[in-house]
Amino acid sequence: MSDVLQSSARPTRKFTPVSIYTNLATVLFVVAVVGVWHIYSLVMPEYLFPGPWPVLKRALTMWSAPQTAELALMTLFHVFGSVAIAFVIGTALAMLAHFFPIFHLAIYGRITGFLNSFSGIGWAFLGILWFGLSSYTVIFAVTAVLVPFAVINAGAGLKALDEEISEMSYSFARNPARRITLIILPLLLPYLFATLRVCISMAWKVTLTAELFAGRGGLGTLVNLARQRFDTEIIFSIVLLLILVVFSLDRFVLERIQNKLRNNYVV
Amino acid sequence: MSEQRENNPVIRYTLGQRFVAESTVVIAIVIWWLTSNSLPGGALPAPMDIARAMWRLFTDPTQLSHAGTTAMRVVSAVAIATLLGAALALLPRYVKWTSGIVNAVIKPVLGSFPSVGWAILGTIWFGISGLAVLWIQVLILIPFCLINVLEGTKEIDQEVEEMGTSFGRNRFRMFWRIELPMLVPYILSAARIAYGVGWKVSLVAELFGAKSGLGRLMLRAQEFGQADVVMAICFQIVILFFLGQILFDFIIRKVAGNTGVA
Repeated sequence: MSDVLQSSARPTRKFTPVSIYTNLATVLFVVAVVGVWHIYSLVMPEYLFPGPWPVLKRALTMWSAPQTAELALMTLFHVFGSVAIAFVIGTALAMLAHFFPIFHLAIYGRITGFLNSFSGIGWAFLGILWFGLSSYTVIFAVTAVLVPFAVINAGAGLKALDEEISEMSYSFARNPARRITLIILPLLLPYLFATLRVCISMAWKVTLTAELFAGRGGLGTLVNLARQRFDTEIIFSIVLLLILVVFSLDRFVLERIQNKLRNNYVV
Repeated sequence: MSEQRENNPVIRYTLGQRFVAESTVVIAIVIWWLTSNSLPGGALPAPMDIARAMWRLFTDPTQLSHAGTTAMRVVSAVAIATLLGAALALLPRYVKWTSGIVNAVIKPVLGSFPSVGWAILGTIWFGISGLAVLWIQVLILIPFCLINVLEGTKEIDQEVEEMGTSFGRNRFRMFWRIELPMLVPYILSAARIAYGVGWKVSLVAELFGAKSGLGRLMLRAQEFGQADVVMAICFQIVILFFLGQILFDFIIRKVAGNTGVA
């Protein structure tokens, strides 16, 4: 009970001298990094090391070209398409291993182990040979990389399922569909969301690589073009943008939803 | 002790589970073989073609040298990334004001930096060289080591630390004799994870920044449409990955046995 209260209690923020020093040091560190970046860019050729201001300017102005927005939308499609497929496959495999333990070793020891050790670039190259340069190849490669993470995360959630609640549900209703939809899925929701969060965070990075080698659209293609033209400003801008998107999405959206789910379902 | 055992249960599989697992592998190979027969030549090489290509990869001295080069790079990158990651993770323990820098800046930025970004920037800055590959791999691997060792620092037993302080005030001796042995399993675990990731990212790094190595070999095979070589290289990496994991597990078990930290 005390654990429940502790988890739902909102922590109060206290500003101690240590936390003030820490925050000040963090801000100064960021300022120093940007300063060093700026000074270093002054002594280096622009194509090797563009400064922070040109990069920031380019990150903002590149959206004036309608083609950039189109490419970004394509990346979004690749990310969320592959996350959706990997999530469904991963959760289904984890559930199969949980409810039918006879498949446990096959799923965790063989399928997941193999997928986890197979190179993402390998999937991309095989995808090119099988599907050509297309969105199918990108989604195929990213999905193949994400599935083992989805299986492992969803499996951890299923392992943490409260056995007593499952047993109680069994004594109240024998219909497996009702038990899954009314008891197991709501209990699993926080874990499933955690799986989704891990997949989304990983997908951005993998998609950029897959698009670079195998795509005909997406920000990865733009990075590839920039690489061939030595347009380092664009590469820096996209990397900066991706760091901001991945970090903000994870910290300000996904983490908050996950905390809410955790509090609502008392995990 | 019993709690420790509960946290690290050794999964014992039944005969039925083993049968299903091995049957899955056999069925997958049969489906693969049937599909390769029904597809036009080269699209999906048959299992035997892959086995032959893999045999060449493991026996031909030139091709084996590519695997050796990649292995050397992976091992070096893992060692450097583990050292740097551990140092970054330990920094806030000794210099308190750096906790925000490590946790709020370095960890999220390195964690969300796309590996292909490092690969391209590495090639632009260092050219096509071994140094570029090593630099790319190290920067991709650091966040994995950092996160793992950071978790380890949270698990350091406060009571043992207090006892250490009561026996001697020398900070270095405390670190060397008490904290480091307690952190070794986490550092090894970080190295194990980095090793697994290292093999996969080695291809990304070598595709852009190397004249040798499995990544270069794979790029050439892909350009010539040699699906059998592409798949054989991927399987070779799977084998090397698992061999390394077995070695790491053995070392971790030995170290955990010696230090008493699981």
